[in-house]
Amino acid sequence: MSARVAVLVFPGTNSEEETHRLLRDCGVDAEIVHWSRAETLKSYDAYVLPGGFAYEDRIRAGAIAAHDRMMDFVIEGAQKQRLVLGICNGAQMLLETGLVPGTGPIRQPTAAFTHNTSRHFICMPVTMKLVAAPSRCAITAALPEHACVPAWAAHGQGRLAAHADDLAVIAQGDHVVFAYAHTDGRVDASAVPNGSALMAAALTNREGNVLAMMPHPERDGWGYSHLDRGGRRDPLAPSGGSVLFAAFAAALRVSA
Amino acid sequence: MSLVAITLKIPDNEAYTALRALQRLGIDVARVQRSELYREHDVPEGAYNPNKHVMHILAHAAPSAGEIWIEELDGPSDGRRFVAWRLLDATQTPLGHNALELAAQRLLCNPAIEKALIAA
Repeated sequence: MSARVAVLVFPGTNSEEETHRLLRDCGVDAEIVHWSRAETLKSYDAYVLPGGFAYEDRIRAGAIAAHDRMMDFVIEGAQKQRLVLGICNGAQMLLETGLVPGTGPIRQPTAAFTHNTSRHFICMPVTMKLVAAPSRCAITAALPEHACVPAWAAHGQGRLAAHADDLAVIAQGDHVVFAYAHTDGRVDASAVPNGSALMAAALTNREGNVLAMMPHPERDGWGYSHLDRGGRRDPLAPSGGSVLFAAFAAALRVSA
Repeated sequence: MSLVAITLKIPDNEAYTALRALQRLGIDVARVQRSELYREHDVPEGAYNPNKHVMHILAHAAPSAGEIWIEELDGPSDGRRFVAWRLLDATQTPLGHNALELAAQRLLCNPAIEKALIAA
């Protein structure tokens, strides 16, 4: 029996449909689970937290959702080494719960994805480069070294911030799995769209089973994601961002 | 430093959400009020709408009884200095320091990016 994956929907989540569809396209047995069915989450083998604005980002992005009943099950699952992928608002939740970077107690966060340096919402294509060893995180283990994954940054609060000593722990522990890069793979500060510390686009926890990613790879999941396809590309063919979901599917097969 | 408090006079959904979340976290609170605090001459255009807000100048630039002020650490400034949360119990008495500290730790402040000033 294949692993079952829950795509969680909080009040205000808005990316569950494309996330679910891309998981299914990659062969994953995924289902959308709304907050009213939180109790069913214990029966799933992995969790994906899609983007959006859970609880309208009240207080802070992810702050209310981090205490939602659904997160009790996600935390429990993560502690049992189940795979957890959070994208954008889902990533903000994972940092608010303390699951990522996982260097402090649960629900006592040591880092946050907070307001971009510009204080403006950004919506732009970005490239994420795998800067840790692929095996550092179970979800990226099937990707080649230094893989570059296209995605869309669409956030007002995507800047990694923490105290200097916590950032040092994040850096030394290889928690930064993806950094922002230029399309040719060069990693430097000018590729970072939001001022994120350590040029971080995605972080993992100590154990490597939880991945918190600010950009949206599912928005570069199919040919139709590209405005410049010029009619030559099959609109339903997999596009660059789908490799991350294929890697997630491979990780599920390994963990099953 | 004189501070100006801008408070919604229409129902504040964010304060209500905070109230329910704090109650769920076991904090004995019955009412939450929220204000945004700006330097007196730094109130940005659009922050105050007389149809929705009341504005007053604070007598002291420090939290009063029952208040937690949240300040962003090294964040880019948009003129706003603090978000002030006022927590009251069922008798409309301001919560004491220990309960406020718990509310800040559990929900209202992420110490990685924010600092909480709590009424003594």
